[in-house]
Amino acid sequence: MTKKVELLSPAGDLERLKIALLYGADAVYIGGREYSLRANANNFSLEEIKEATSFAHKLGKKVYLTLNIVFHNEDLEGVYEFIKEVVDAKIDAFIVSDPFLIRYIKENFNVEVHLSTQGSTTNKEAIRFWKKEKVDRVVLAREVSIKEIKEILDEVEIDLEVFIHGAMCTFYSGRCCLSNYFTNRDSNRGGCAQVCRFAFDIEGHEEKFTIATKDLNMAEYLDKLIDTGVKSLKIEGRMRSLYYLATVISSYRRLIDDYYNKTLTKEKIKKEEKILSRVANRETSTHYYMKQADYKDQYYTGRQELSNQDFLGLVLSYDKVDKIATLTQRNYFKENDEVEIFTPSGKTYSFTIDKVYDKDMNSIEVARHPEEIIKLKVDFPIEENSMMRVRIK
Amino acid sequence: MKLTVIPNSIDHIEKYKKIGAKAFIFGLKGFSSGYICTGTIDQIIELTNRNPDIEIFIAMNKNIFNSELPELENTLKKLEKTKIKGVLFYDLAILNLKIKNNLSLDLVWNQTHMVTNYNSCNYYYEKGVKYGVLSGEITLEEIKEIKKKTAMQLFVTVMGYPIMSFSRRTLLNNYFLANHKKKDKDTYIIKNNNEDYIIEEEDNGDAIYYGKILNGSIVLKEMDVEYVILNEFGIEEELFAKTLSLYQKIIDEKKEHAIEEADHLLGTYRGFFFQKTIYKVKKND
Repeated sequence: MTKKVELLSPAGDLERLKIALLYGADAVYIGGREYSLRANANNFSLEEIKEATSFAHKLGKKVYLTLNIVFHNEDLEGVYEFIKEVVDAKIDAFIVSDPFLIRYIKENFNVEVHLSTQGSTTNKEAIRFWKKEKVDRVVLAREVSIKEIKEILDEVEIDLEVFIHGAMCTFYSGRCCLSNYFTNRDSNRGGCAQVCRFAFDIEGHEEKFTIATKDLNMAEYLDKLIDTGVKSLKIEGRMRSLYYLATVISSYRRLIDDYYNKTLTKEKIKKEEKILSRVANRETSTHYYMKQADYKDQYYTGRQELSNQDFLGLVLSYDKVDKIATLTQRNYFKENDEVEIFTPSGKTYSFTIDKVYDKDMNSIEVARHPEEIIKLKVDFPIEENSMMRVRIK
Repeated sequence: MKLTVIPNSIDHIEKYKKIGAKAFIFGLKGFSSGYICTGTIDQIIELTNRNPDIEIFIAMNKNIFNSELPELENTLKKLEKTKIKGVLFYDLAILNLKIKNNLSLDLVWNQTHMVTNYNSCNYYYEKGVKYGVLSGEITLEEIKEIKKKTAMQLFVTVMGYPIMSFSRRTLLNNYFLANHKKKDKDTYIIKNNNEDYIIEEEDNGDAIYYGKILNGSIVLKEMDVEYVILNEFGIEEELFAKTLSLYQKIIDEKKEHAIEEADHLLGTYRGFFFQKTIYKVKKND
């Protein structure tokens, strides 16, 4: 049987990790409380890392830990002890950018090392270098094309990981310290302030000068990417919400499974693209994968990022006897709204809300308070951790 | 400590040599990012032949793509036969090609913002990389500690507009295309929150520079590194020459109040020499 390409999800905390894995990710990447490039995400304590690996391994899935800051001298103290503790917590791989760590981990532990995209690896000769250094996997730079990926894999036997969805850096990863100069926050140590989303005045012209990029979305060309032989398809966003993760992972899970089942059709891709387009409210592009990125891959004026109101509630439980679903409310909904519930196992059910009740089964007609416990009459059984959203037609 | 100049033109070499520059860094056509003064291999060979009294380094610091590898390999083989002192590299393809072809070509680790600790300096030194250009975002204390704990010969940039970022995207060109306007030059000043920044477009993409000139006159005597870099990009020739002269005098301790004079000429922007970056934002910040 063909081994499927890995679907790799971000997870900013334990709750997100569980959702990501339940919704179809094969592996997740997480950050510890130190040494990760998202210093301001919640991140994982050592105990949480243990819980994460235990949860994932029971499902036959993997957890990778980002250790990909660019170290300053002061960061070196304690890192070796931290690595040992994380290895003991049964992490499956470290994602690293500073080369001394690659050597240290490979010499001392039997654990995989993945070279971070911070390394901006763009060619087969650089990959040969890392292969000799015993790197198990290279996360390619976001500036390479599908053609170049194929060229690499035609000549070098190595696991490659590529981004398929999410926000893009304007600059080569690792080659940007805008944040350091604008805000004193160190972009290569996890403090990126996303200065590339700022607007500038430019001499001699009235229109604002912007450098922000559209998001990446490879749903349409996923088959071509899998055909290259890459081992892992990565979704960006350790700071993203539960709903975002569940939605994006579900869509790509279906696309990947359809690819291997030979049931992938243009209609199915269009449907998933529609779902994906609603979840982040940003325009998307394929950036460098299909051609050199150009002005159409950037934002200039008129961009609005509206907060997403689609996510209505997270299903906590379902009472099969009384046919009552219990949810925590996330956005306003009411009786007679057309909604759908999508489940961790990949099913989607559409229905019209009949009755809305509070936690004590008092009829309330409208659910208007975030995190409020709500009960709904639903005629079909629903898995725990399913999500209810506005119906996407 | 050798004053090392990244000049805007080869015509400036003689003048800067006379003032005290002992080393120069030039770009190589097709393989450099952020270098105004670039040449072909033949031009570089001619430069080294005409200037045996200075050290000439070549910057091949762009990100390399598969299609460029054959030319890169040939170029490195040709450079081995020249009198250049070393090649500044960003992409690991260059180190791998040196190892693969057993080239006796000295390399300079120049991964702009990533040369920040002694362990990784030692890692590359053990791989045969003789020199490193330290990142502009580390403190003087960090520089001193790295110097103590590595045998790698070090460059530190002490004067010039600091580079902040480099993109493969042609951000200027894209802006003008999107706004249906004509781009009439490759360098523009952009502003945010009343601060100026410089954006420069070249064939390989766009670089953005901080809008204040780094003035490291005050740290020259405190650092024990082998090379200090002064970058002429965006700076008038006369101002640059005066600065170079003052820096030489500071190193030689031949002039009182030279630091104050340099401050008067350039301002007192010290980059990160005395300022640590932060990366965890406290709650409520």
